[in-house]
Amino acid sequence: MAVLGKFRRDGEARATPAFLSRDGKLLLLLHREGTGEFLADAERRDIDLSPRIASIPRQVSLPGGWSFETEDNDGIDALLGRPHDRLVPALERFGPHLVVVAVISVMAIVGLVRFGLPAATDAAVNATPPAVEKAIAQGSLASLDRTLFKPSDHDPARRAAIEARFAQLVDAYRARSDARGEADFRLLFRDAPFVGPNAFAFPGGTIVITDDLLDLLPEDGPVLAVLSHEIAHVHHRHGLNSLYRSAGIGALILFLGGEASQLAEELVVQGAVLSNLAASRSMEAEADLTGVAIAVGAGIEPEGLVTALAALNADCPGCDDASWSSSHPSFAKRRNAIRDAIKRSGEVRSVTSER
Amino acid sequence: MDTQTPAEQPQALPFTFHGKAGEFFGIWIVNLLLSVVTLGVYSAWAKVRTNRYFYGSTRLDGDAFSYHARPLQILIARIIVVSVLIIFNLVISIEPMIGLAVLPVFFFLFPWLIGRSLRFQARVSRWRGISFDFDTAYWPTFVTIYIVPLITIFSFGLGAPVATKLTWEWYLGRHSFGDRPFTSEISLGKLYGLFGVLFVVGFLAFGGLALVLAVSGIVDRLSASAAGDFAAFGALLVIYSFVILLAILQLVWTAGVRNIAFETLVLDGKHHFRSTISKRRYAWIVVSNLIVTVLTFGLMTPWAAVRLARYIASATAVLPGGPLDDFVQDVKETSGVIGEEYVDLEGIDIGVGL
Repeated sequence: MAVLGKFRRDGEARATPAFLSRDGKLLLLLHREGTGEFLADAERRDIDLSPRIASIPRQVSLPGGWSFETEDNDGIDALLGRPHDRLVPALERFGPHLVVVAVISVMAIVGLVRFGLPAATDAAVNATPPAVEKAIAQGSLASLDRTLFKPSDHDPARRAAIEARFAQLVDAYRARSDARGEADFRLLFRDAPFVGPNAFAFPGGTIVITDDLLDLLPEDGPVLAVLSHEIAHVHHRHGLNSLYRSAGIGALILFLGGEASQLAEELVVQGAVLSNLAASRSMEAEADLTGVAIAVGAGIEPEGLVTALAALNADCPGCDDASWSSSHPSFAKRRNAIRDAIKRSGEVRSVTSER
Repeated sequence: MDTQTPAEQPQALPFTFHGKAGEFFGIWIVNLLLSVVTLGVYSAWAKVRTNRYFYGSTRLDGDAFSYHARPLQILIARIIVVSVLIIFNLVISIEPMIGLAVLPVFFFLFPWLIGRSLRFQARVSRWRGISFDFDTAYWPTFVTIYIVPLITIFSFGLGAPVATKLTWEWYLGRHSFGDRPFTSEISLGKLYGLFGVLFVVGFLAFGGLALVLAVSGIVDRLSASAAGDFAAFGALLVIYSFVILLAILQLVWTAGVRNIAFETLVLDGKHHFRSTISKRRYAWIVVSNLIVTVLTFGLMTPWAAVRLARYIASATAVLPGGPLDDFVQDVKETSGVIGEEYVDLEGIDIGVGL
């Protein structure tokens, strides 16, 4: 059996019509078409056959840069192909089985984003040593201090009072059986006019509260309820979680995006943004619930968080958009969930006190 | 044997594309599946199979092009790029100042990387057994990617044709087929002619769109405080109509520039090229491809890619300045082995292509 194709010597474009045939297990022979003149030979292990892709021509690379090209896909496969080389081309062949391939692909992508990514993110968070977490927090705090943050000019007496009660709150948190022992809690006050009323939890335990938030909440109770919420973020390591999550999604886009069109990539990026927002909303909800538990454990009125959210809501009309494009759940949703959690924790308390 | 008279009018040799949507669909969807289940590792093989299919389906004078990059080369390049990105991001999240200090290194490294990447892409592309090549000289690349774009910026866009001319001449003129150079001297007058027409059309279209929006009062409704999903979609609609208009103008510009640039492209001083992409047809193909792809949730992506490749090939031709067989027999491979080239940066768009 022989395969017809074109033979080229190294660096030469001139092609000689030639037959490729095989002698036994190892030797490959090339003869000129028509005259049968001997052109070249090579051992099977020294040659390289380009993979079969649909019906495009195949190249056989011979030692010394010589090559043989043929359009006879079946012939060259019969002559030189190895069984496992045919798996992917067989799968790629157009036919009804591609429906199955498409369905499995979609399921695999959904599974990867829905389950694989969160699992990988959790694993990465758990594997991160507290020292690295702290270093990351210090870096981002340092750059915020250089840009958006200024030293606080809020009433020092009130700051000291809040700091003292924050220390009690942290002690109460540490007394919990599920407390993260390695968290190193620090409360910092900053003036951040471009940020507005807000509080941040950095990975590792640094919590920043802005002067605007202190101005908005004249009572200390709601401030401490907000701090319980931030401690809950630290407790669940939400900061690292969202950092790793975005990085993971970025890597997914990098690897899979190349296979889709530019437009599909755009859609994937938009989807990633929405999924990051959804993750952020569920983290906020989780921090609300844990925050209530921490506040109750520390003897702080958990309803203060609702007071704080209501004040924030009143301070910024129109900010509360309860939609897929928001990083936080709506005020009403959070309020109801918080009150449910308070009610549940009250029931637990009354049961334990009866004993 | 080859005794044609040199005075003979050269016969245009068109590029032809023989890919089929059904064939490519299989390749594409299997690529997707295997890339997902191998957590991205297969994507290097997927890229090679896709490129091999498109190169191998494109023919000139009966012979197909071929793509010879090895999946492992691409995988290694990707691993290096990803590792550098991860390390860089870790470093800047821990100590942002170190990140700032490293940026100049990236700045000066980047032109070198681009040169190497273009060289890689050229050297793994072959026709009749001969590789293309790219001259990686550092400073021309540096000037093209950092200085030339400034012309457009500092002239408030009016210098865009000059920047386009310089970028395309750099890109085309640094390529060679084997040891035979490509040369190109693009007509600035023609670029400005195209630019002027698009400028006027764009001005009128944007003005008209803005007027329609103002009259229909969508703008007012959008600024109302009760921002719900409906208003958000309205805002998206407005933004997208501007984006689509801009994209269409961009398409027409790219197609026009390619036609103008190919007119003056010469290989080895005698073989000329011709690009006859119809701006309207090209814009129509790209826009309708987009719509069909969206409506089928991406499943028609392979069909769209094949359709575009077929049109672009059919609108491109070589005008040989002599028998092509004689020419290729003289062409010598340039030195260097593909295996040495590990730099393949993806997603780099230097404003040249099609």
